[in-house]
Amino acid sequence: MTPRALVRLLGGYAAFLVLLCIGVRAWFALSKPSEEIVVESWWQDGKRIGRRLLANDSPPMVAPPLSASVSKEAIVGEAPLFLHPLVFAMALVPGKDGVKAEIDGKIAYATVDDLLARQAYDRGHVWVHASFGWGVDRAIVLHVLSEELGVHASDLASRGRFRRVRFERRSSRGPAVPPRVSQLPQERSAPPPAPMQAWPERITEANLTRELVLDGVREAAMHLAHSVDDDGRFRYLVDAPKNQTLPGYNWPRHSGATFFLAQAAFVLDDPFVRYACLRAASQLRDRMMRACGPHRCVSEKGEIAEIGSSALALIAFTEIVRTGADGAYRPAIEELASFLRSQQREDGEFQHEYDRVKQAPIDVQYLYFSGEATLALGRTHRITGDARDLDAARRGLTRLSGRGWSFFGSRYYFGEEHWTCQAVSELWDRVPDFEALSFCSRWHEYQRRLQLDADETPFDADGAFGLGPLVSPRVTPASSRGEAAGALLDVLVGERKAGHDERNAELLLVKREFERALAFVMRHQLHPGPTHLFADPVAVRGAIPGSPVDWHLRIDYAQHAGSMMVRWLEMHALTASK
Amino acid sequence: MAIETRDRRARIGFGIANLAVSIFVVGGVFRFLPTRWWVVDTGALVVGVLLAASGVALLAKANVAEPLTRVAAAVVLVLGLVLFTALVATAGWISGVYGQVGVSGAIIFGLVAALVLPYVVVLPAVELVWLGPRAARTRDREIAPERS
Repeated sequence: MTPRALVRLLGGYAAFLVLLCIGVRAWFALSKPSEEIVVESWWQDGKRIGRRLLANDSPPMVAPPLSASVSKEAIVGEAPLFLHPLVFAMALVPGKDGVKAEIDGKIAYATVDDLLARQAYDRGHVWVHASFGWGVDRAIVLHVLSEELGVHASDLASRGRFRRVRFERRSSRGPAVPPRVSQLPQERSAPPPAPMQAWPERITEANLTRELVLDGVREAAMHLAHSVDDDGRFRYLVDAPKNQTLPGYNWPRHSGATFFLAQAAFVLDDPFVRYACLRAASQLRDRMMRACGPHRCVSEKGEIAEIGSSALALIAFTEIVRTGADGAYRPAIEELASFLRSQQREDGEFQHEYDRVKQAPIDVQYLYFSGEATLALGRTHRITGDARDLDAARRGLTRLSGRGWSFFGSRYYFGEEHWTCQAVSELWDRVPDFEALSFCSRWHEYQRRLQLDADETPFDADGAFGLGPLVSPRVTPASSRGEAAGALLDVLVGERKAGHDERNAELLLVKREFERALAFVMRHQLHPGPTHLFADPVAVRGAIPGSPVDWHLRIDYAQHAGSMMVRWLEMHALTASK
Repeated sequence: MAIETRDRRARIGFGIANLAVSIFVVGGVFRFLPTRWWVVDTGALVVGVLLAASGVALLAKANVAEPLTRVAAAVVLVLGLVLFTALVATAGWISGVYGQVGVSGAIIFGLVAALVLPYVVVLPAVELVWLGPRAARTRDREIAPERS
């Protein structure tokens, strides 16, 4: 082939690519339907019990039952859709798109509400853990449509015609007659749900107020407190639409949730929350603390103990003592601190496991634990006054922010450092570490680059921290980064008050990062959320979902979000006192 | 062989490529990297300036185009190899040391290594091959009067 022929070939190929892109975009873009169709669904106990299509506001032929909630979703766009498994998972925008199916002259819709109620979004492919799902679950979509059409799903898949449909929620209203009373654990004299405070139509960084955030704390805390049983165990993971407890438990997260309840009990001065906190804490202290060689640690009965449970339990216990909820946790604090110190290496790093049979630390490192242990020991020193705790925390922080994260590219790639930033803030008034502060600042600079703007994704993701426009934003990363931003802000405000103005520009950036993240989290708190899609709306009120479309509720989601809100309240009080 | 006697299309092609990579490197580092670090920032500036100068000289058919492109390609190749080695070695190291965090880090570092390879290793290597050894250029200069 001559060079001229090659150039012509490549030029032709480039022109073909341009036309192909334009054509594919035009083909798959949404087109406005010729007439507006509204899908009206009737819901009871989180299940759809009826549906009708309203075209051009046609008068209803049949009234919905008085006990049913009614939601209206309007079709605002349609586009072609291929059902092939290779392309289907990413063919719908989670939380915005549904599917229209046609077979034998019959038409059915899988609306956004249908797919949310069945938790079909972000479940198409699950990587490692349900939290890392992406794509729409094709089987659920087919199941919803085939139920409606009265055909077998495989028959529908092979013979049906499908369209992507963009829905817009027009309205939803609760039942005309009051629902049945929620089956909450009445034996603990749970207070009836407080009247719902009116929140702004859309929470943004601009309309955050003390009253609003305090109400968010109250809602999250009441949700968690209600989920603590008489033994002090949480409902660890709940499927919100079904109000069904899912299997699994995690003691570090139990400890973290206990910490937030202690914070909330103090902020709200609420005896119900405090009692729930102390039940959860006593489960840790009285049933989960076991011998770890000469020390005692929080561990299950197995051979290996990890330090995360002990570190977070220590954080919770120090908050319980600090806030005066129960001073009797002081001996447990000393025991756990002693265990953590024994797990520390000479260079400041922590050994994250302990072999209870061989009675020896195991020198492995996992995500989070070193930061948690450092923060825990820093907090412990305030209670015990033991210089060994402070020294261990100082060395842990030096390691975390220094040699522990030092390699080519360590400025451009970070782990999860929200506990580290909180440790920086915790230790600042006693052993300020400027290297660690710079590390925390760099981490936040990196996070701000990942923080999404309103127009970057099709989702309501302003303030979230995402990996791109195709994946619906997770709520908890925004919460944990918000906690860490609050911690950094605490130091920066303190420095400004001390007359050091070098970081004032950064202070404004961190404050904005913090408040955008907080607004994002509060927008997605179930306050009360789309109650018609929940089997028991009261049981999930105040909870924090995994994402706008992932309504599995795990206790650490509420913990991080709630602790972030408490941080904001502390910052608000601090800045107001200047 | 003097620059004016070399293949015109190759000269223009390398000129455009050098300018494009210059913009790619400087833009990539200063626009997309989240934080500043003098080691990487300085390297990006050196690569950007050298490739931009070489690109302009090649397109303008300047007398200095050949020696400038030779220096630029050699420096970029050395820096590119250092960068590629550091990225690949870090990917292996981080996945070994940092476990859970490190695996995703290793993937990112591996992808970045694959991304930079064509621009800061393959391209300058090909340019050096195109220019040929310096000795051949000297010999050409010596016999050039006989040609004319």
